[in-house]
Amino acid sequence: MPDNSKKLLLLNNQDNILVAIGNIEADTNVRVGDDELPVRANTSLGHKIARRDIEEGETIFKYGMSIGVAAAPISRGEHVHIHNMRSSYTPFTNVE
Amino acid sequence: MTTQNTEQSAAPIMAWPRKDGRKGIRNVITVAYLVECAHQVADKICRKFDESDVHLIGFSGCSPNEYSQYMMEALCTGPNVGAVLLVSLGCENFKKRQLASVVEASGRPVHTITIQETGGTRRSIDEGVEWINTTLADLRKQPKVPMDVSELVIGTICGGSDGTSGISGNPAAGYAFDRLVEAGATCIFEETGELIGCEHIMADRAISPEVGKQIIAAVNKASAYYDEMGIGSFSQGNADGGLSTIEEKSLGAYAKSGSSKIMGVIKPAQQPAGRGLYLLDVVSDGGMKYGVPNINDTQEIIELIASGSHVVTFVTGRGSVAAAALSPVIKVCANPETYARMDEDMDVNAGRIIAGEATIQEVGQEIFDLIIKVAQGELTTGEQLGHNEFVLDYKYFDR
Repeated sequence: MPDNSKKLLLLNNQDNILVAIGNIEADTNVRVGDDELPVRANTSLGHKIARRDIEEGETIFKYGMSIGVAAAPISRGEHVHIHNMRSSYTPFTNVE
Repeated sequence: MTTQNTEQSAAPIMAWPRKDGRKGIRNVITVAYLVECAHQVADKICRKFDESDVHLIGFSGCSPNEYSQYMMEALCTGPNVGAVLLVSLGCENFKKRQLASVVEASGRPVHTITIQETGGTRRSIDEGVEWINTTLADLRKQPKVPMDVSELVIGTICGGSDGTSGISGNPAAGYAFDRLVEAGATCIFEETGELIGCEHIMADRAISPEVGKQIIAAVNKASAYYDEMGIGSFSQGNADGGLSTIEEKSLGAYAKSGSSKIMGVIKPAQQPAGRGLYLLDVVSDGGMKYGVPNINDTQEIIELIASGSHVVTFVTGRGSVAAAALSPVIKVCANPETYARMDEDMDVNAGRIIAGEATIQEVGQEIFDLIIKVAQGELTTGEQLGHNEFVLDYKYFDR
């Protein structure tokens, strides 16, 4: 089994997401501390993965601070991005 | 590490003294076109010289704009500028006599070419080249004096941000800012439109409740402005790089300000009143008159330079090759994959933090040390590659 221990970074204990610090292939179990997280989709460096199940409308925390809210229910290990979260400030329509 | 820091701080920076008490770490001639119609002639004059000696700047618009006038006055009398050649078509609205007298009063050689009077393209180019040849020889004789780290003004921006910017490059740039402030230098961070969501944590760092209110007002203005425009300061590259919202981008960008107290909020071309850390408010007052607040990274860098920045640090995740006219730009690459592809354009590899090969403090120290070396004359990758980007657009600020 490949060493995935350095693929996901927890920035703050309060966070409900982890940041990919390497590229992760779909359906890989990634070790985070004593835990193991099922990463479902291909995930590139810099992208976010749900640390636990997140309900729709729940605040997404990164650096221990709000970066927006979940626009849909998000499962543990799922990619957290523009398809399932939105800004609490200015929304945008210019990205695909 | 402490010993090394002391040595770095004690090493002499030799700089050109200016009449206003500031000192320049470069002594460039700037050629400034005062309307787009004079741009090509000004550009052709510059191309006859080494791009490290002669830098092209200018304002394209013909309609008058107070902001562009005082921006050009601040840029032409900036610390790194030794002499100024103004290139006017002749009928534009720019107040060229006022600009020339401001430059003259600053003690710098200045010459104005008016193309309609000189008699067209070739005669104007010849006159400009001759003036620069003479002036370059004069500038080379100007003596330098020692300059302390505390006399430096350093700006910071980030551009082409991605999910790595906020965890490697920006915190490292922030560490360098903290060290500079400790050394008594002046630091400026900016782009209030990319600090949306950080206003309250930022206000907690204000030196006074009044400055705290100014910080919140500046970010609220930016938020309202972008709402009115209908688009935020968020790009396709930001999303491809893993950023999902403006506040996520903001929190990453905010890290480059470090952790020092915020002494005040300034506007473009305004010089910080004292030492320490300042926020540059870049979004126009009075609502959306002139469109997008900053049309690209270069316009942000130029505003930092107009507010007196000797050097600018530029953190990028997706990768940029842009630097700027007048002041050296130190490019800090946050993303190790980008660094591997674009290393010739990068000065610092903060991607080593992501790869687990260096700490934020180590890379931050490297940025601090490099700022000192660049002030001592070491060329950045942007300078070596001849990147003298410049943009100036219409804006309005209450003053």
